[in-house]
Amino acid sequence: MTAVAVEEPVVREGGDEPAPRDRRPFAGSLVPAAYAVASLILLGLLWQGASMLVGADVLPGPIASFRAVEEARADGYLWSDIVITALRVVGAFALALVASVVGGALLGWSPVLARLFGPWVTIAASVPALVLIIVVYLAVGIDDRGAMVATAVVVAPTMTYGVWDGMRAINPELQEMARAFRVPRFTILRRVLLPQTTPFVFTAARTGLSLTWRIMIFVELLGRSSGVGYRIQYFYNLADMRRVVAAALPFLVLMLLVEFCLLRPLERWVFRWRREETR
Amino acid sequence: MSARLAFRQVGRRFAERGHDVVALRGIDLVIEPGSFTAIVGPSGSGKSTLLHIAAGIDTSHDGSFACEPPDARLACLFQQPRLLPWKSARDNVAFVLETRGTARAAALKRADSMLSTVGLAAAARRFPSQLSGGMQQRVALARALVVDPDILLMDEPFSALDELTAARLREEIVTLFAARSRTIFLVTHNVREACYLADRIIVLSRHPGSIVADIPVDVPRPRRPDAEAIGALAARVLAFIEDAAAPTSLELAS
Repeated sequence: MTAVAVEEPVVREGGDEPAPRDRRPFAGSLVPAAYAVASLILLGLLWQGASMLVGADVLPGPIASFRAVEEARADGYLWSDIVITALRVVGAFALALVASVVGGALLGWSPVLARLFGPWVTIAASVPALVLIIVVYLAVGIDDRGAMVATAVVVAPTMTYGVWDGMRAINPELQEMARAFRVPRFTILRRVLLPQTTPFVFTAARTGLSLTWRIMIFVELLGRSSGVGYRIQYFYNLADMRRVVAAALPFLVLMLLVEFCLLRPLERWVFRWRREETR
Repeated sequence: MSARLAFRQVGRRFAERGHDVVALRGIDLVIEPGSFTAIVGPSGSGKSTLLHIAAGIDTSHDGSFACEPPDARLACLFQQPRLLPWKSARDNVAFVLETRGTARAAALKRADSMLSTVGLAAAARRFPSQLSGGMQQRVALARALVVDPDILLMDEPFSALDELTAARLREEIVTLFAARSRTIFLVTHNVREACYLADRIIVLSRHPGSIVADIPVDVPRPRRPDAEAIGALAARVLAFIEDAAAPTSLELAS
């Protein structure tokens, strides 16, 4: 994780004091921004280099690709593709999140369930995504519902692991403390146990979301006639690689914006108490 | 109000790799209201188990345990501070009041005043990870005191601290005990600490833990930690513990 904004100094006393903070001016904001820009420029150069190496027919360079995005916008399908795929991603993600939180919580709560069904999670995570998608499509129907369920089935095992890990990270000593202070049972669950799992659920959700959209493109390619995945397949069949890249690019940018502008700042704020430990 | 703790024939077994380990056996102990009792003993004597039973954390014991009156206010201070890491110092202290129905604003006000009592007014808004070990333990002490407990249970509360901080916190406990009648129950392996703080010292043997000595502390208060009487008593208590820790004939035979 990158450095965070400069804060007040830590109050110190006694021998086992925490490490002093970095107090250089701008250490928190300018340097990481410069690194981010440099990183992007290098990536663009690498992309252009690779394009020149294998040929623009196979991998169009960044400028050609962004031009193709503009053409797609002019053709009128750009936004509708993004909205359709985004709705499917949201639906699939919600399904996977509910399934993994319920599943992970049950596995973490009951050793019997963990022994019986824990291996299933490993098995489910090992089945090739393609097999799961085809089976779900045939079982549920080759429609939007099927697409969302199929994606959720592929993504849920990985997320379940994350939630399960969170359950294992629960510190029984904090629960003992709360019981000694006669904190009511439901309050212990809500205010002592759940907050301990949230960092893990958050991480599971973040990795789950990025997996969801990548799988959804695949699911759309296999069985939908709209959305980003369909568009990629369509232009692949026409061997128009500029339009293939142009179909994926806007959605990729959208997901990166969600990650960098929404999820990461949110995570940093919600888990601000962890900073000292993670640094 | 002060409370009385009564253990009658209390025993506790743990299942360990298929067979039973007896941690406590036949504990008969009454802790009178307003008394300061220390439990000492070698490791493996079930001291902490006894305290967990008193705290209501461990309910799978044999015999009976009763706290009279049952609605006595109870507070705990553990070896580790056991603070909620996502809450600031003041929120940690206010938490135990809020869960007892105190309004948040009033709870925060009392938390702030208790934090300044333990000398942490400046650190009230910091998270535990931003505080030193000694400061965290003082937050835990403030959390225990803010409920104005009738019973204060302490499980080796100073053993993870440096000696200077520990001495300062012991003074705070003495002041607290003098302020109003409370029942205090301290588990410690520090014999001198037990002699300095308590009115009565219970020595437990190990495997299984049972009471081998019940020693009154007849040193008048206020006491000095380095007083000769304390040193002499500590030597006596230590002799009991060494006896209790000696391997049994059964262990020698095997």
